[in-house]
Amino acid sequence: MGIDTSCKIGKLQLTTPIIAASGCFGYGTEYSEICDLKAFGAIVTKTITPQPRVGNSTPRIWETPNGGMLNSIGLANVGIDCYIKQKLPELKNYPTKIIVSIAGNTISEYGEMVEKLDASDVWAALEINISCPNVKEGGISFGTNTRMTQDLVKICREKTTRPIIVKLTPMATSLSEIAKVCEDNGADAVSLVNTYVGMAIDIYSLKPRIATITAGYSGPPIKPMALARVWEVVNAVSIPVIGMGGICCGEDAIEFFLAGATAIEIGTMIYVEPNIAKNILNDITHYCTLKNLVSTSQLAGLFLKTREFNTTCTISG
Amino acid sequence: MKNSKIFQEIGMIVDKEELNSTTAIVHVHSPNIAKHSIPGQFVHIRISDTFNPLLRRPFSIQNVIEQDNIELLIRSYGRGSSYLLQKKIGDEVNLLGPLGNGWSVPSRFKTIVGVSGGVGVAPILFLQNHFPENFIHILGAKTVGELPVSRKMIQQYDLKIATEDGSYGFYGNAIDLFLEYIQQLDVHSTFLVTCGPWKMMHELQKIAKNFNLSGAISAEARMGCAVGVCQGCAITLVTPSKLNSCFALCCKDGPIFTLEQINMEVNPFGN
Ligand SMILES: Cc1cc2nc3c(=O)[nH]c(=O)nc-3n(C[C@H](O)[C@H](O)[C@H](O)COP(=O)(O)OP(=O)(O)OC[C@H]3O[C@@H](n4cnc5c(N)ncnc54)[C@H](O)[C@@H]3O)c2cc1C
Ligand SMILES: Cc1cc2nc3c(=O)[nH]c(=O)nc-3n(C[C@H](O)[C@H](O)[C@H](O)COP(=O)(O)O)c2cc1C
Ligand code: FES
Repeated sequence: MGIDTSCKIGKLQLTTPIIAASGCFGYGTEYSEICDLKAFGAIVTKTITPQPRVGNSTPRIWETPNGGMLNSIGLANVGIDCYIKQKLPELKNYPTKIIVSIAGNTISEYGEMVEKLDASDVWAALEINISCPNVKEGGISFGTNTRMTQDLVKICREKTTRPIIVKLTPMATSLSEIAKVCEDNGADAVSLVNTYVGMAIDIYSLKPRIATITAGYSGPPIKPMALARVWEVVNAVSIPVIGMGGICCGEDAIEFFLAGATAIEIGTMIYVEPNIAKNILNDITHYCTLKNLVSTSQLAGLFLKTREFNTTCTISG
Repeated sequence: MKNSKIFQEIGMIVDKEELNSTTAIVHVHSPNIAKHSIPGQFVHIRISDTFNPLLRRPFSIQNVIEQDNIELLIRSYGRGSSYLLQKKIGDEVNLLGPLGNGWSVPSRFKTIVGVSGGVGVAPILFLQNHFPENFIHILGAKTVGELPVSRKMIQQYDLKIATEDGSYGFYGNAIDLFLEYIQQLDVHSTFLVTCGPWKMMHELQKIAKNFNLSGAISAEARMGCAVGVCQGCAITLVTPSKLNSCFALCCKDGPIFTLEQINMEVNPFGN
């Protein structure tokens, strides 16, 4: 019997709970030849900004010896006008839903972008990026500040009726509070984590591996930390949580569902294995069969039920 | 010479020739990639099913053999390339390709001069296969033991070898040898192609400018996706191109750029 893989994130109905993360699937078309797009319930396109951005100076990426990735791209993107005119139309009638990721320098810029985008019917939901570690303005500073998050979500909410997802940074100390603010101001879901802040030095040349010195850290090594933050947020809000960070196989994805994520996003691993979503989807449905579940959405219940027997053990080390 | 179809293919190593302790020529059976490859393109290889290393590694296509096999030239440099070199005949290789733009030599040029440094010879040999006539190919290496070609290939491609210690061929580096040739060339009908260490290519860019010589380089940068998604492989341009950007993507807009396009003062691996 086939497993029902459909997934509901508020009003957003997806055919699978797997989403391509922003920055890891370009503008949506680049991987279309080598990737089974139907494995993705949705794809989030590269974060766009009010003006085109050329990005940071080079070198911009580095692979850490433990299988992680550092990047400081600096939100290189074509800018919203070009995006609406050239990139979005290419995704019309796509076999997967489109989620648009935006970032602005000021709160009103976010609002203006949503207003412009609302004229297009190609996209299904917004992901508001308040968590990019690689640009000073519009980046992580929004995502670590409850007051700014509140104003930002509010203004976006006023400009569209389509689902709004707010993408959070794991660098925020009061993450639960930030997530709650998103919920209280009309966000339909939150997604996390964006990259951690990381750094690497070439000990021989005494130069930083990345031109901007610090960079965003992603890939398999961040998974346990990301999972813990997702768990934290799941327990703080009642809106759906989209989990990501280091997911590279079915088991990883299942852990996020068990921790309470409604859907997951895959980032860095797409570069490694462009068709990874298909494998992950197969693994998830296989696991559901094993556990006698009829739908992937039942996964969330499994762990939460066992948790009730184990609530005392919270301190470690 | 643009070619856009990309394949993911699990290839199999069908032949391997070790040239020296750090370099080997590897033939990989990968019919789809082989059929669609043009000189100057590369493949992006997932070296291990584990995350050591995580990201794929880019390697130029050196040749297409019997339609179904691609020839790669692999030098062990760090982790990824040395694991790749440990693979044996019969082992599988997870490939993405063919990628990148490929060489483009305007038809008004009657002679091509290739200047390669080390494993930079790979994309230039592929081009030479397509233009066997009037192709002068200069190859530099530190010493004879590090030559990235077999003796047979030296003859077959009539390679002009320069070694820095004089242990084979011309005593000096590839640029010194190139300067010997440039006097005899008609710069208006000659096209320069180069691939090798950044410093060598930078030097050549300056020489070409002085002599009014046109040409192209095959550039290198660290790569994430190799399909134009991650924007990790930026190369700094002399004059802004599309979108007024001062960057181009090595994987998609390149790896081949004209000599005039790139600002070679900025090494993509950091100065
Ligand atoms: C278009 C292109 C074609 C290439 N063709 C060949 C070839 O035909 N034969 C060959 O032996 N090598 C070739 N290289 C270089 C080869 O990709 C690197 O030697 C290899 O990536 C090094 O990986 P590593 O894990 O061994 O080294 P590490 O130093 O451990 O790698 C660390 C990181 O730096 C990157 N890196 C290090 N050196 C280079 C480099 N020179 N170019 C790009 N990325 C680098 C790695 O990919 C990795 O992400 C090519 C590079 C490019 C961009
Ligand atoms: C090269 C690169 C570029 C990224 N660009 C963006 C971006 O533009 N917007 C965004 O919200 N997240 C961006 N991210 C973060 C990812 O979407 C994701 O949140 C993060 O990488 C963690 O997931 P992962 O470990 O699966 O990659 C980028 C990540 C990488 C590696
Ligand atoms: S390597 Fe990702 S854009 Fe070039």
